[in-house]
Amino acid sequence: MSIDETLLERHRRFLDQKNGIQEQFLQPTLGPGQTVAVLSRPIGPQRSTGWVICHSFGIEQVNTHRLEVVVARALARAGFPVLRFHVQGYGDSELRGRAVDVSWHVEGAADAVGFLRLSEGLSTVGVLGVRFGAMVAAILAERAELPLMSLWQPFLTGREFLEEFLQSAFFEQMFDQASQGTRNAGGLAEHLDARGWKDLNGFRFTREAFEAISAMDLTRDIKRFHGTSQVIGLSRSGTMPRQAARLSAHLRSIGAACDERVIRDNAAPMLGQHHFMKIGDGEVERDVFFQAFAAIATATVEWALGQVGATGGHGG
Amino acid sequence: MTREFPVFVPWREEHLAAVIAVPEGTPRGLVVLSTGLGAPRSHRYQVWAKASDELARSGVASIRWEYRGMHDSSGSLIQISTAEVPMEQNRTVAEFAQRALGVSKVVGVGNCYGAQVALGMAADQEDCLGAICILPEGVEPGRLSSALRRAGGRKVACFLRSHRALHRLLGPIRRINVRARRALSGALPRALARTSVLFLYDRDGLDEGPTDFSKIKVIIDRLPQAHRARCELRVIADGGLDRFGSIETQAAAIQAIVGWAGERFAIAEADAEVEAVPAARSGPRS
Repeated sequence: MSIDETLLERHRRFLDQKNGIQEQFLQPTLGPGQTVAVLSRPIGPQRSTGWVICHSFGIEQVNTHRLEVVVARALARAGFPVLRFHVQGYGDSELRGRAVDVSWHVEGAADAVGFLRLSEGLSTVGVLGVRFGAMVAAILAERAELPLMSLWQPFLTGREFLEEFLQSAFFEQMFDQASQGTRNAGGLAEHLDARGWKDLNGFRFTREAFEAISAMDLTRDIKRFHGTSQVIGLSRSGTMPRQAARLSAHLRSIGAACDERVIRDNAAPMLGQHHFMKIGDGEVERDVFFQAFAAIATATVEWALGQVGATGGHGG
Repeated sequence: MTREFPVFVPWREEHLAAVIAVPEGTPRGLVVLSTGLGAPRSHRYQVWAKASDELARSGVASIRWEYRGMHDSSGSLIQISTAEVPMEQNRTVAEFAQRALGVSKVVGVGNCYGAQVALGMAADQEDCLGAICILPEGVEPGRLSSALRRAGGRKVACFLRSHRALHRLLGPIRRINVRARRALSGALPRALARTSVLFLYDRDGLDEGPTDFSKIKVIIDRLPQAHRARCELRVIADGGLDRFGSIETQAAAIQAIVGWAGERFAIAEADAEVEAVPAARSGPRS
């Protein structure tokens, strides 16, 4: 019996009439392989500005994915097309069982911008990203001269991202390695064994990835961006996180417009980690970022709507 | 070559995100891959995506999917009760894939929360040939678990349990967590009454904490011998199976899934041939 490809094709997309949006699975080649992407769009008229979401690194791709979905759907409700996708080495992408090459993040996002612009006939494409994905978005905005970027809980340097990323990983592995792991990013290289990689709770983390991320420094890598940016910080206290504040200051120092927004949330230090927590008698698990993700989406949409007067209203 | 079809499967007013992986030629059967809470359809580090590839190489199709309100599925979910197993969602995605591929025989596979889903399939779905349950949380959460979580979360609880001195100290009160999960104690006897179940464990999860197998064994030991014989416990690693936390363990789990599911489909194929032979013999002779 042959497979019913018509049935499968018909179910690549769905309409959400209540929210006025539609979503479609796509399988474009982004970076060095084919991958799965989701295009969120309004059912009604579509704006001529679209967005590509850049995901974070390692297990954070899984743990922050729902944020991408929530923001994409909120932007689609506001009339924007949004593309989210799996970088090679993640999710449903073609390259499986191989260590993630950090360059795939930027290559994949660059291809995604081109793909979205062409397929939707857009005049403007901006980039969005969380944590490491925010750094990728900023680097791509610089290289491809994109006019818009919204960065959620960004880092200024790869070394600082790695410190947090590895601290969480080592904490999961064992308590007593956590303190060693957080002293400095340079010391973390010692954890990579003679093979040049380490099994970080199931993730093949290589020396090449360590070095490539360590070399990222947005004060050096972002010099020409003159577009409009938004930096959203998430903190327990309600004050802008240090990394995000430093990035905002840098963007302003090079002449870019930068809107800052702080979202107060008790779970802020956990962003990037597993976010379902057992509550009560333990039979119920709660998404601790449910409100925070919605707040980030609202802030992003408000900012995006503020930009379209200058860079793209409704398309034809 | 494996072909993959990402789809949104309609379920009530929502749409469940899934990827159907199809082997070359006619699929021998379908494996339904369900995740633990919070994991996406490809699972952490693409474990389900890699399993789909390996299954396709052995001629078996698969569907990996996401629960309502999680990842790319529609709907929103602020909290979820692990006592409520989403069997209706699972049946919907399984039937969609069965219809699209023209296959009837299925095997359920899941880890943690997804293990309860897989077991539920084996218990109640007539065309299900068996279930692979990877580190199911077999123990009903109790007062100790709650206290430890309040003190600092699951990792703290594991840390305390992993240190001998602290473990001894906790010994008398850890028995507060004594009951098997209701979803398991209901589904496991029904599943073993009709089909086979494979439990995959690592040593770390075998006799400690929420995955403690002794609570499941109590249920199995009460069953008739013929039903008990359909259950297999396989310890595939010393540690690292929880959330597929080591590369080596991921590979061992995939190997076990492909091998065991392949055996189940092979047995069904052999049974179908045996049934077909008398029918052919009793047919008209030329």
